[in-house]
Amino acid sequence: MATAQKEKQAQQKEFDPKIIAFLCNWCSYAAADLAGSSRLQYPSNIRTIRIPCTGRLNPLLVIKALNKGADGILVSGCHPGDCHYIDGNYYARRRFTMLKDLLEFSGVEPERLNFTWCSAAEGRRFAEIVRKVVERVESVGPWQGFLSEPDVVAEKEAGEIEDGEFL
Amino acid sequence: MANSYKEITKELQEIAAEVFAEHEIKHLVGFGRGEFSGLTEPVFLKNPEEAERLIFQDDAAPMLSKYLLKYKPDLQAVVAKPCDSRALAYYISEGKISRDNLVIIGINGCPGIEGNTACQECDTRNPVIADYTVGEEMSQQELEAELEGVKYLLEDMTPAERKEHYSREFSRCTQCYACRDACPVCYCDHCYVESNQPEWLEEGSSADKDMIFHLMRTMHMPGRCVNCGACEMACPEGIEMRSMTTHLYHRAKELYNYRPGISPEQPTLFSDFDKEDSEPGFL
Repeated sequence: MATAQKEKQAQQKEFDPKIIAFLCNWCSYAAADLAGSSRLQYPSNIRTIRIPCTGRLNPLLVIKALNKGADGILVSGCHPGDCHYIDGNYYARRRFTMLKDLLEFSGVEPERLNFTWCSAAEGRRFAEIVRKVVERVESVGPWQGFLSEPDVVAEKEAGEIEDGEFL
Repeated sequence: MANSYKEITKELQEIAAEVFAEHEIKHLVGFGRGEFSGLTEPVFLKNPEEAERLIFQDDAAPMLSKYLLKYKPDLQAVVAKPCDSRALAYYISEGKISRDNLVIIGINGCPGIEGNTACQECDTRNPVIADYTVGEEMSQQELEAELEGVKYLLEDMTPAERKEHYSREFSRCTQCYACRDACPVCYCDHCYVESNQPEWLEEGSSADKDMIFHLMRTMHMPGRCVNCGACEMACPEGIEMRSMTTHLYHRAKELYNYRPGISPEQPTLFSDFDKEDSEPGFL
């Protein structure tokens, strides 16, 4: 009985999403810092990657992060007009809009793809954003990959082809 | 009215002779009957006597614009379908090839290519740039009448249905990269798929890796894809992949009023921005 209970508990265990946060060095990363030094609480689900500018973030990296098993993505940079490199985030905005469109079109839930702006002074806003993003990702559950389940299962079941089948 | 293949072929042969007489070109790139395959293949004509080899048929699927890049320092003539002319305009806008080195024979009122689904939703039936044209121009009203009610591929499906669709389609992908090679606007010397530093695509082939390849390829396409359908025509497995690039093509049109290769002067989608760009779905 004890084992059955444990299993049940394990099943009921809350889904703990893994969220990759690409943060701009000049604003959002500093905002995360500020949130920390102001002792603001926010979920520990994000894994921060510091980038020099959102304009530097290759959209393929987002695809790759999802491929490697991240449940959600957060990209945050300076507010439009406040870019340290003058216009990096304007370029990024177009790119991310297209990336988001492509991924949503091919079946990724929009809740997993989060893009936002957050300045260095907005520690409070950063904590709020993280809470919101975690909530959004939790609402769609664990990430199952870019392909729909039955086909992946079918391929795994098929496994290696026997030599005889070729003949 | 779209012109007939016969008329276009006849006019092409006449104009080819004219082009040879008026310009000192290295060669004229056009479509001709393959000597061994019997299919319509790209041919490189060196002198006016060969002009009668030129044809235009419903299986003239290859995009000739890509063949020009190899010889770009020389003056070349090319037979350009409207989609090809857009690819050329895109090359010029990116500074990839000089307009002065091109003699473009555009095909007006293109009747389309057999089996290419892109032709049914084609929004450019006349060449955007041309020095010579064959056939009668198709009027804007006529084009709009033809396009009325036409929906782009998979537009009506739900994301979950599309996910299933792509899972099924890409399970056949062997990663031969024919789609990349056939694409007129895929021309990097060093492609991301062959890059191992950083390694975008891991070695080996499996359904999810094929999907990653296609997602990454498509992500290079917004603002470049001229919606010609060459990728799909080239695919030996008959995988339907155009819907992804087409979706981005239409989205860029909706959001930024941007259509690639519409004029040689226009900046590319990602090298330009508007401070007032919308942010759909941003937090």
